[in-house]
Amino acid sequence: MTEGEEDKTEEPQKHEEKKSNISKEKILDESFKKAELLKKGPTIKKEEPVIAKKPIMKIGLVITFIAIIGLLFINFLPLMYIYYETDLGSIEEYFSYNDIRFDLIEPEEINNIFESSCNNCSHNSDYYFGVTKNDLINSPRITIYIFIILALIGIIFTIYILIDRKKDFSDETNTIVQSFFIVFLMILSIYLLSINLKFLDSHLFFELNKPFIFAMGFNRLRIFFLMPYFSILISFVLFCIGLVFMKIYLNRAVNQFNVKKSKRSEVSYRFGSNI
Amino acid sequence: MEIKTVKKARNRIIWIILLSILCLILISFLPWISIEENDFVKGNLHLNYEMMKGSSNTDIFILSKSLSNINILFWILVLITLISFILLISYLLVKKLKIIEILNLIISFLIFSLLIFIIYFQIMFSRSIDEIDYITASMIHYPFAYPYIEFIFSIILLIFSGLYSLNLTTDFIKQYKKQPLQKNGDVKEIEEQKLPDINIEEKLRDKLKESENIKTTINSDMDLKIAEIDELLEKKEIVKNNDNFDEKPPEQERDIAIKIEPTSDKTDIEDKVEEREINDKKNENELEEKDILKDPFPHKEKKEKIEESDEIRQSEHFEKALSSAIERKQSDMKLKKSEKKDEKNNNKVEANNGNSIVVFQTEKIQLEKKGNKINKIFSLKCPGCNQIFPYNKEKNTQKITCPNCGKKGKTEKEI
Repeated sequence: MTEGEEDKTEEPQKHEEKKSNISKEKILDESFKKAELLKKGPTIKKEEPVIAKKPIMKIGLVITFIAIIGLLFINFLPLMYIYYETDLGSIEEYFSYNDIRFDLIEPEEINNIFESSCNNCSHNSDYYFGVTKNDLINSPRITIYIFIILALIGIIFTIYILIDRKKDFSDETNTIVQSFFIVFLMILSIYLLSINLKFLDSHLFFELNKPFIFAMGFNRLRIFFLMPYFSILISFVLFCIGLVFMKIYLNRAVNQFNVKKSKRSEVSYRFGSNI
Repeated sequence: MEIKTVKKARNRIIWIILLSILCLILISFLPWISIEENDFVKGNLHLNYEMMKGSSNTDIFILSKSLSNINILFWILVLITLISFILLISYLLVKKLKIIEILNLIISFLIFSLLIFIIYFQIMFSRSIDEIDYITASMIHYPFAYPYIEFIFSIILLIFSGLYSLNLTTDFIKQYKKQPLQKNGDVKEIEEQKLPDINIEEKLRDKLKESENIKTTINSDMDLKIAEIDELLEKKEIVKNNDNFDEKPPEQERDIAIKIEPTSDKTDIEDKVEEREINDKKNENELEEKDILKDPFPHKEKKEKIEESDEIRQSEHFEKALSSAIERKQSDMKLKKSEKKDEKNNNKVEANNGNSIVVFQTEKIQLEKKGNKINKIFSLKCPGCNQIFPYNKEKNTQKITCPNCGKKGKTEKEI
C-alpha cells in the first residue's frame, strides 16, 4: 500500500474516533449532570417572599361617609310632618329646618303644640309633647355640628391608618390609638341619641297626654319628625359600630395578653421528678 | 393579672358601659312625674325631664334639679367607664405599667361610689315627690312606676360595678402579696419575679454549686493523701527489694516448679506447696497493709467519692502494686492444676485394676421437658474405654455402668 492510500484509510478511522469521543463526552456530561442532580436532589424554585402590605381599615372612611350622608339628609329631608284636623279644616304640611329656624311656621295652632298659650300656669306644664320649639331649633343644629366632628374624626382615623401603613406601628399602639377613636365615636353617638330620642319620646307623651292635646282644639293630630328619626338611626348605627369595635379591641387585647402569658409559661423552667 | 380575672373584667366593663348608657338615655326618655289636673281637663299630665326643666312651676323645677344631678352623674359615669375601658386595654397590652392597674382600680371604686350617689339621689327624688300632694310618680300600671325602671337598672349597674371593683381588688391584693415592691419605689416586673419555679431553680443551682465545691475540696484532700501513700509505698517497695535481693526472682522459681516432676518426690512438692501458701499469706497481709495505708480513715461516703473521681489513678496504682502478686498466683494455679491431673490419672489406674469404683466424667448436661417436670440428662465419659453414654439421674437409681466395658462407678458430683 502506498502512503496516500494509507492516509485515506486512516482519515475515516480518525473521524470515527473523534465522533465516538464526542458522543462519549456527551454521555459522560449527561451522567455527571444526573449524578449531580441525584446528589443535590430536585431543584426547588426559589420564590421571592410576598410582602403583604397592611390592610387599610375602612372604618374611618365608613364614619366619614355616614357623617356626610347625615349632613346631606339634614339639608334635604324635612324636619317635621304635621297633619291635623280642626273644626275649621285640616292641614297637612312639611316643615324644613330653615322654616323653623326663621320662624316661618304657619298657622299659629302648630306653634301651640310646642308652646303653651297659658301665661300664668301654676300647676300644669307649658307643653304636652315633651318637645319644645327650642328643641326643634337646637337639636338639628347640634346634630349638624356632631356630624361634622364625626366626619373629621373619620378623616383623622384614615390618615392615622395611612401613616401606620408607612411607619408600621406596633399592634399595641394601634389598638390603643384606635380604641381612643372608638371612645370618641361612642361619646358623640350617645350624645346624638340623647338629643334626638326626645322626638321619638314625643309619641309616648302624645299617647299619655292625649286629652290635654285634644283639648287645644284638635280633632285629629299626626306628627312625624323625619330628620330626627334619621339622625337617631345614624347615631344608633354609629353606637353599634362603636360597641362592636370596643368588644373587638378588648378581645384582641385579652388574646394578646393570653398569648404572652402562655409563651411565658412555655419558656419558664419547670422542675419535676426528673431531677 | 390572671387570665380569668381579665376575662371577667372585660365582660363586666362592657356590661357597665351598656347599662350606664341605657340609664342615661332613660333619664331623658321616661316620664318621671304626673300632675293631677282639675281645670278644664281632668286627668294626669305626664312630664319628662325636658318638660320638667321648662316648667314654670317651682316645685317641678326643684324636682328637675335633682333629676339633672342624676343626669350629670350618669354622664360622668359613662365617661369614666370609657376611660376605664381604655385603661384596661392599655394595661393588657402594655403590662409593665403598674400605674395603669392602680388607676383602673381607683376608677372602679369611683364608679361604685358614683352609683351609690345616683341611687341616693333617686331615693331622694322619690321622697320629694311623695312630699308634694298634687305630684305623683307617673305609673305604667299601678303600683309599678316609670322611675322604677331607672332604679332597677341603676341597682344592676351597682352590682356589676361592685363585682368589677372586687375583681380588680382581689387580683391586686394577690399580686401585692406575691410580688413585694422595690425599696426605690419602682415596681418590679411581674413576669420575671412572679413565677415560683424560678426561685426553685435558683435554689437548686445553689445546692448543686455547693455540692460541687464540697467535691472539689474532698478531691484536693484525697489527692494529698494519695500522694503521701504513694511515697510510703515506694519506700516500702525499695526496702523489700533490698531484703529479697538474695532470693531468687519469681520467674526462676516458677521454672523450677515446672522442672520438678510431681510423681517422683511427693514430699518435695508438698514442701513447695506449703512454701507457696506461706508466701500467699504474706502477700495478702501486705495487701491489707497497703489498703490500710491508702484509707487511714475509712468512711463509706468518702470511699464512694474517691471511686467516682479517681478511678483511673486507683486502677493504675493497684496494677503496679499487685503485678508481682498476680504473677505468683498464676504460677500457683498452674501447679495446682498439674497436681489435680496426677490425682485423676492415679484414679484411672485404680479403675483399670477393677478393685475400686470408677469415676465417670460429665461431658454435657441436657435438659428435657416432660409436662411440668424438667429432667437432667448427663452425657458421661468412661475413664477406661473413653465411651460417652447418656445417663438420666431420676430414672436410673442404681450404680452407673459403662455400656461398652461394663465398669461400674459414680459421677464426679456424687463423689
